[in-house]
Amino acid sequence: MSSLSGLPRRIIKETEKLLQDPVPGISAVPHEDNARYFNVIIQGPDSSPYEGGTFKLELFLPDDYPMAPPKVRFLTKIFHPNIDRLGRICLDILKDKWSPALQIRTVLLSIQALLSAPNPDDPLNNEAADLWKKDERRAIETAREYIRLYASE
Amino acid sequence: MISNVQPHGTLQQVFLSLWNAIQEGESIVSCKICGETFKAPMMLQKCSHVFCSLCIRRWFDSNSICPECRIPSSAGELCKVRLVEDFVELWDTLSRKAQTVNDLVMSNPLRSDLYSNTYQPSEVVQSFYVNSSNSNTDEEGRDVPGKKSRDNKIDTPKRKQRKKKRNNVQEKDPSHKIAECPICGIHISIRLIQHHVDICLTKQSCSEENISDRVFFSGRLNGTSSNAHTEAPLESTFEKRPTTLWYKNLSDRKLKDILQYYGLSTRGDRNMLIRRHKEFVFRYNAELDSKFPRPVSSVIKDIEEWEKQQEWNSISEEALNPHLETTLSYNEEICHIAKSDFESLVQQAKKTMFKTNSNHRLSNLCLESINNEDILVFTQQEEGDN
Repeated sequence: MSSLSGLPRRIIKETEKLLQDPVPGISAVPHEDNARYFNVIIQGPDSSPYEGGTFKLELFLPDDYPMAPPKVRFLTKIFHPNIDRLGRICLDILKDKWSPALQIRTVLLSIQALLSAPNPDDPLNNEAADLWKKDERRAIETAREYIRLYASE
Repeated sequence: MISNVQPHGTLQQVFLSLWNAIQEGESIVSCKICGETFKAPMMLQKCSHVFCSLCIRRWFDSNSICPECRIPSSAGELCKVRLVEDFVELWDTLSRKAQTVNDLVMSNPLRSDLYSNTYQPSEVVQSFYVNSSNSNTDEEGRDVPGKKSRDNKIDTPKRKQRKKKRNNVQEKDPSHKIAECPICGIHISIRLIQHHVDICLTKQSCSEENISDRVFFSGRLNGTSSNAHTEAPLESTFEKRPTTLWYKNLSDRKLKDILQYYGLSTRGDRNMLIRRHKEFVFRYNAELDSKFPRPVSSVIKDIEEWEKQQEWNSISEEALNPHLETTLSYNEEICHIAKSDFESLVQQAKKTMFKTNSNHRLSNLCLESINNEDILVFTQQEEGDN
C-alpha cells in the first residue's frame, strides 16, 4: 500500500539514510501507508532540562517539499518556552529561514538542540517563557514534572 | 598500482575502496535540492554554489537567497557550468561500470576463482571490463561457474585484445553513438546528425510553421566535444526566454492566450493556469540551460505528466492520510484551547472595563452588554478588592 511511486527520489534517499544511519537519540520512521508522514521519537538531550524524556513528534513532508519546510509537531506534552500547548514549535528554519538544502535530519537535530537550549526571548508558550525568565530553577522543575507525567516510557 | 596488489581478498579491498569513493562522490555531483545528480547545473555567481537549473529556478520564484549559504541572490545571477555537467556524465559512467563489476564479482562467491594466484589482478580487472558489456554471459556465469572460468582461461591475449578493441570502439568512439533527430525522430549516428538536422530544418521551414515541433537550436546537437564552453547564441523557439509574469495584472483571457501561444493546455482554474505557466517557464529555461535541449513538445509532454502526477498525489494523500484522525482531534484541540483563551481574554477585558468605569457609574447600555452573572462576579470581586 505504500505510495512509493511518484515519491521524489530525494525523499526516498533521505528515508533510507535515516533508517540506515540514524541520528543518536532520534528515530524517524515513515508511516507504512504514507511515506511522507513520519513518526519521530526524540530523546531529551543529556544535561538538559529534558534529560530522560522520550518525546513523540509527527513530521509531515508537504507536496512541495523541499521547496517548503516539513511540518513538525510535538505529540507529547512538554513544558518549553518555544513549544506551545498544541506541540507547535517556534523554530526559524521551520518557517521563514527554511532552505531546500536542509533535510529531515537537520530539522530534527535543530529540534533536539532547541531542547538543550530553550530560548525564552522568542516565546511561543508565554507561561513557560515567563517562568523561565523569572525563576529558571522552578521552570526546569516544572519541565521535569511534565516529563515524569507525560514523557516517561 | 593494481599489478602490485596481492590477490586473495586484496583486490576485493581495492575494489571496495574504489566503490566507496565512487559512492561518496555522489554527494558531490548531486543537487542539494532534488538529491539527484545535476541536470543542467547552474552556478550562483556570488557564492559558487551549484544546483540543477530547474531546482534553483523554482526556488528563486519565491525566494532570493542561496539555499546553501543564504547569500542574497536571484535567477539573474545564474550561470552555466559545463565542466560540472561533463563531470556528472563522467561520474555516471564510472558508477555504472563499478556497479557492473560489483554485481559481477563482489556479490558472487562462485567467482572467487578470479582471485586465485594464477591470475594477474590487472588481467582480472581487464576481463571484468570486457565482460561487463555482455550481460548474458554474466547470467550464465552465475549458473554455470565452471563454464565461466573456462571462458576466461581460454581468453588468449590475442582474443582479449580483439575484445578490448571492440569494447573500446563501443565505449569511447563518439562517432558510434546514436542520437535521435529532434525533428523527424529517426536514429542516426551522432557524426552525421548535424547534417541531417540541417536538412530536416530546411524541409520543415518550407512546409509549416509549427512552434511546438521546432527545436530550440541546431548548433549544439553535435555535442561530442566536451569542452564546448564557447557559448553560441541560442536560437530559441520563441523570440525571447519566457519569464514568470505579474499574474495579478493578467486577465484569465490573456493568461490563456499566453498558454496557447506556448502550446500549453488552457484547462483548469486560474491557480492551475498560473502554476502551469510558471512550471513551463522554469522547465523551458532549464532545458535551454542544458547541454542538449529537447524540443518544446517534450517540455509540454513533461508538464502534462507532472500535472497528472500532482493530481494523483493529492488524491492519494487524501485517501492515504494516516493522521486524518490525529488532525481531526488536533482541530478539536485547537478549537478548545482557542475558545478557552478567547473567553479568558473577554473576561479580562470586561474586568478592566468594569474597573475603569465603575467609579463613574457605567452607562446602562454598557452594562446590558455584559451578562448579569459576570457583573455579579465582578462586583463581588471588586468588593473583595476594596
